[in-house]
Amino acid sequence: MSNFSDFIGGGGGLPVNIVLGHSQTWVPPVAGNICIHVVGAGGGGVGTDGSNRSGGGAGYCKKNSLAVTTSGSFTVVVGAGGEGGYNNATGGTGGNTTVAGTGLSATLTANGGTGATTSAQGVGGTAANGNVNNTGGAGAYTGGGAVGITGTGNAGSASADNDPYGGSCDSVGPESIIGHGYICGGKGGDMFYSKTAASATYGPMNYSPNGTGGFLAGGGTWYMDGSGMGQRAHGGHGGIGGGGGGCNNDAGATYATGGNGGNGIVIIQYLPA
Amino acid sequence: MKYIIKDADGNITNTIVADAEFVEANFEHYEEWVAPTSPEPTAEETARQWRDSELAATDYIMPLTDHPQRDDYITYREELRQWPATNSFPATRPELGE
Repeated sequence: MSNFSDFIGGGGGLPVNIVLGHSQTWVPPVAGNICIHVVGAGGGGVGTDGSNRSGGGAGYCKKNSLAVTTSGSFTVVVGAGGEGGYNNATGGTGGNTTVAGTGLSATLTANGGTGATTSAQGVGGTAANGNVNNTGGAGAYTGGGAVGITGTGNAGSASADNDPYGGSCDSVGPESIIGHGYICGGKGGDMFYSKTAASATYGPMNYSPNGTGGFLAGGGTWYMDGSGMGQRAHGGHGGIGGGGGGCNNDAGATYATGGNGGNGIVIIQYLPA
Repeated sequence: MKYIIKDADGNITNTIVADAEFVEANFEHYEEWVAPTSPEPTAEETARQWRDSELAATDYIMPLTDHPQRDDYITYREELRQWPATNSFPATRPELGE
């Protein structure tokens, strides 16, 4: 296997995605032109007894095209998602994802989103040195911020009345269209609103929710309304690069834990010759 | 594995996903990240979970008007609901009467 046509099996129609989910030294398996997508890690949400505070989405950096050979080498560092905060502890800041190596004049950098505090939503991570450098979405009442592919990432909404979800990726689509210099994400995780009486006004009433965000999207928050419930609650985790959802439990902050931010990722795509 | 990367002064500069070999080869100052331990459930939480499971397990009896112990279960379920507000919570659990 010595060239790109051999690498993709000679058909020439399928995109070749190489997904790097942990830090490593990457050597191109074949020569060709690649597109590099770099996504930082999401910030963690916070668990409180007074507010829904979520983590920020990660920054996104893209190198449109780079010629590589099998003698080249790249150092890939993948950021880890920020831990959700328990009992008023600030959510962890997401780690930064970077790519440096042969042919790159500067390190491609996608920074992590910050964690939420009891008084402030998390802030989206920035990015630098790519052809595209987008800031992640901020944390919000309904959930964590998302990664922005076409522009600044989406935040969740400030109210659950109309849109009870964490931030969704601004480039939502089926996995099948990913490739040739483009990636897509998913929808933000559901926000859950649990109430002592069975009369929740919005959002599913569910004691074991799964508010995890989709790929590149934020996790949903969980608001447990009613101090008499006395159950532990946990904000939804962010998808890759997404911020974690916050958790607000009227029973007390010791019953509340924020969702974790999603880890970062690097996706390398071989472009058609 | 998750690692905390630090500068020479001990300040955290990044948190990354990596294996030990990569971290040793590329960074001078680091430590393995340790997940915080989840707090043990309190006696009140354990009691509430048991109470909720009892209510759920006996819920099917309520529509059965000819169940031989239906009245006992109605009383029992009411005691379960009131239990967290009583002095016997969480130490003494309500019991089904005969």
